[in-house]
Amino acid sequence: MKIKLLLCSVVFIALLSSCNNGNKVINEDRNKYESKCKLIEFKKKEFKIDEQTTYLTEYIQYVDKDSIDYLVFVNKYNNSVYYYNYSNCRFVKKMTFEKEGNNGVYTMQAFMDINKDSFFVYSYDTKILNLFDNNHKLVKKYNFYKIPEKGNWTMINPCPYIQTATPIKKIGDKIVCMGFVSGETSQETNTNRPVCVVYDLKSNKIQSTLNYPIQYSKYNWAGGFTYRMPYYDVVNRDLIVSFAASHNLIRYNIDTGKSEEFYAGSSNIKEISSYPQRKDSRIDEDAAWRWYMTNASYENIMYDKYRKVYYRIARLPEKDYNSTEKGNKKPIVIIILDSNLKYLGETALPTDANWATCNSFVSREGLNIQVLTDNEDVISFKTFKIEKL
Amino acid sequence: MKAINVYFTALLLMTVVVSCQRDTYESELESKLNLFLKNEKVDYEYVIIIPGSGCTGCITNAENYFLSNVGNNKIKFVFTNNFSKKQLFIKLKKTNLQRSNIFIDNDNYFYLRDYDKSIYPYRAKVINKEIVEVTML
Repeated sequence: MKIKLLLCSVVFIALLSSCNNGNKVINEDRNKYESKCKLIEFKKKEFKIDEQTTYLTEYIQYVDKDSIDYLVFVNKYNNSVYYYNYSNCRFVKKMTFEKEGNNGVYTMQAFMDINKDSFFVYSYDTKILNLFDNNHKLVKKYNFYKIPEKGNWTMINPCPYIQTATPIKKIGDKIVCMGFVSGETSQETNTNRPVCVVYDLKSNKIQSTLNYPIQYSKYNWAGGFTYRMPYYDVVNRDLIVSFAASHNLIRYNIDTGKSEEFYAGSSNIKEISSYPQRKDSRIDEDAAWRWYMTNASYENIMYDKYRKVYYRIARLPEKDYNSTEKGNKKPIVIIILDSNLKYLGETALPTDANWATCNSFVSREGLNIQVLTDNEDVISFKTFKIEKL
Repeated sequence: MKAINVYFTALLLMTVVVSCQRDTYESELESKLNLFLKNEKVDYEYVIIIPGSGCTGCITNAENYFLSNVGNNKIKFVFTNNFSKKQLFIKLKKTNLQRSNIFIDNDNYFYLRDYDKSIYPYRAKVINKEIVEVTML
């Protein structure tokens, strides 16, 4: 009888632990703030692209260092960087990098020009940042993946993955980028899985820093790009970081290593549910995508230095999600925050356009968001400006 | 009591029948491919169906398989449910995709959107223009 009871208890406990229903990150400050402004669309910009370029590029940057404002993007298929004059949308120049040989960089993922004499090219395949001089000569290579130190094998150091909304930035003598290693492990704590890589060019030291918010080590977030990839922007020597499963933003100072949290949630999001499985279990790709599409999340954070505001992108659950539909049709909301990260309002984007929010950036004119159309020979953006309510 | 027994037996039988049934995705794909092969002049040994989106890693593997085997005229490659035709041409090279053993399914005839399995690349074995086996690549 006792054995039967014991067996039943074991089965019951096993069933309970296997049916983890997930946990929720509640938006407790929802609707506490008054809306003072909204975004309105006022312009469309189209950049004609060549035969070798697709409008689905993953790395676009707006560069306003010189007298001309440039739109720069990477074409990973021909290992090239394209420069366009942002104001008149005209093509300016193209720079191509070799994949192999003395100046080879493998497949390039991102590009950053520092000045007229030097620029960086990053390859995700090698995790190497390559420094070039103005003669297109490879001068130096920097390894951007930090192998955990001996005796510290529980550290999960990030693999830098560079995209438009998670760019590579130079802050003084430091190069900063973000990334992660996919998966969900119960070994994760709130100190052993950093997302930020800081490379000190002076000392040649690499540091992995800035950990996920506490809900990441507590619950399962399906281990992939949807919730594990952080988004950020740089303001002075601070990184402003947006995590998909957090209603807050983190302001992290790269000199002091100190971080502060600021509420930056959407009034349209009540809660974010974690993936309903224990960590360490195998994650089904279809089920994880369905969970992401029917769950709320946050994405890009962008600082608008011209108007001294921030924009944060939020994605709402898609109510009528169908597993065979193409792309990501989760409704989009853009939250506006002032320079002190205080809520100013939010605007829902029209649902009749095919937005590629992953390619959004701030220009002198306003907030630009890529929109995909039937014309595959142009990269199109809609530009938004702020209007007071 | 008797009624309950009959009910449970029926339920058990139904479960057995349903679980033994052939997966409908494979059978529907097979019938579509058989129709397609009737109009083909070449006796292919395999047809490979590669969707444009879905299981990213599986699709990358299938595209690598395509690049290594595009010259094999015994294999017919079908590209379906492509988000961007231009990207497909850039990624896999226009000259490769213009070969006679390539079919770009612009009408998504082979994309069976009602099935979750449509996100995976598939391989169909062909003997005498008839599909004999359909499996995930």
